[in-house]
Amino acid sequence: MATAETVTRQTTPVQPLDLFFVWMRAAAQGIGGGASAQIGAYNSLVASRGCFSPEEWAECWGICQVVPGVNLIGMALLTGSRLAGRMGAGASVVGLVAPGVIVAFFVVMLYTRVQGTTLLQSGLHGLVAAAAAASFLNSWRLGRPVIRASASEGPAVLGMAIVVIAAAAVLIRTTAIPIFVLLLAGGGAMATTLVLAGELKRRRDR
Amino acid sequence: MTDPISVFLFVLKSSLLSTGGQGNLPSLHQDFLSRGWATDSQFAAALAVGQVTPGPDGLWVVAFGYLVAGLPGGVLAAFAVVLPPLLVLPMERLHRRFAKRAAVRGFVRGIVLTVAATVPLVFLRILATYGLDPKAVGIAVGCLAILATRRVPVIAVIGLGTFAGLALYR
Repeated sequence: MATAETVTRQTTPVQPLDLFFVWMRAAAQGIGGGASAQIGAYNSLVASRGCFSPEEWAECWGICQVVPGVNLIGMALLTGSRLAGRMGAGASVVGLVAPGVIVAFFVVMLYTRVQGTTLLQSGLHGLVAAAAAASFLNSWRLGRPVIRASASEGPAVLGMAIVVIAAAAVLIRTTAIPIFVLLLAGGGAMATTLVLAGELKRRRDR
Repeated sequence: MTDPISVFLFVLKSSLLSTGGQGNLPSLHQDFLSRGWATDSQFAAALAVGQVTPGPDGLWVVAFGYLVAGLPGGVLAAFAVVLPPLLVLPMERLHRRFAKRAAVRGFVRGIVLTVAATVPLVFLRILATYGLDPKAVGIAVGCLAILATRRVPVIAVIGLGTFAGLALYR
C-alpha cells in the first residue's frame, strides 16, 4: 500500500548532489553543536521537501543512537542511503563533514601561529570554561532520558543506572583504569540488569 | 610529533567505543596523556577549535590530530571519526530484530551513562590546567545558566565565555 510518505518521496526524487548541499547547509547552521545541524537537515528533508515523515526521521535517529561514533554522521549516512543509495550516503556525509574539516584545519593552523600570545590564552581560558559548562549540560541532557527510562523499569534498574554513573565518575578520578573497560563494564552491568529485571517481571506475571 | 597511524588507530578505537561528538574524549585523553603524546593544552585547543567548526561537534579530533601529528594526523583523524558511524548501514537491517532486546538496550544505556559521567570530568581537568579559579568557575556557571534557558545558541555562549576570558585574564 502506498502511503503518503512514499508518494511524496516518489514525486520528489533526491539526487546525491542535492543531499550534498542539504547537509552542507545544515552543517553551516551547526557551528557550536551538532543539534542545530540536525534541525537544519530536518527542516530541509522533512519539513520542506517531505522526503521523510517525522516518524521515519525519528526512527533513523533512534537507529543512530545505537551506532558508535558521531550520531549526526550516522544520520547523514542513513538518510542519504535511504534516499539515494550509496552515492546518496557518501554525498551526505561529505557535505556534512568536509566544510568542518576544512575550517578546522584553517583555524588550528592559525592557532599554532599565535598560540603563545597572552591574548589567545586568556580567550581560551574563558572558552574552555564555557565549553566545560556546555559539556555538563550535554551530559545532563544525554543522561536524563536514560535515567528516566531506567526509573520506569523499577528501582533495581534505576539503582544500577546510578551505580554506573557514580562508579564511572569515581573510577576515572581515582584510578588509571582504561576508559573502554569502564564503557564495557557500564554497558555489561546495565545489560545484565535489564535482562534480569525482564526475567523477574515475566516470572511474576506468570 | 606522534605517529599519524597511531592517531588514526586511537581515534578509531575511542570512537568505536563511544557515542556522540565528545564521547571519545575521555578515552583519547587517557590514551594520549598516559603515553606523553599530548598535553591538556593541546586538548583544550582542539576542543576550542571544535566549538567554532561547522558541522558535527566530533570534528575537534581533526584539530587534535593536526596538533599532535601534523597534517597527516589531522587527515587520518578525520577518517577515523567518520568510519564508526558507517556501521549504521548494516545496523539498520539488524535494528528491527535486535534493538528492543533488553541486553542491547541495556548495553547502550550503560555506555551512554558512562560517557555522560566521564566527559564533564575530563573537561574540568582540562580547565584546571588553565586555572580552576573563581573567575573560571564564574564564567562556567554563568554560561551554564544561559545555556539552560535554551534561548541562546551554543556558539553565542561560547563566544561570550571567550570574551569574558579576554576581559578577566588579560
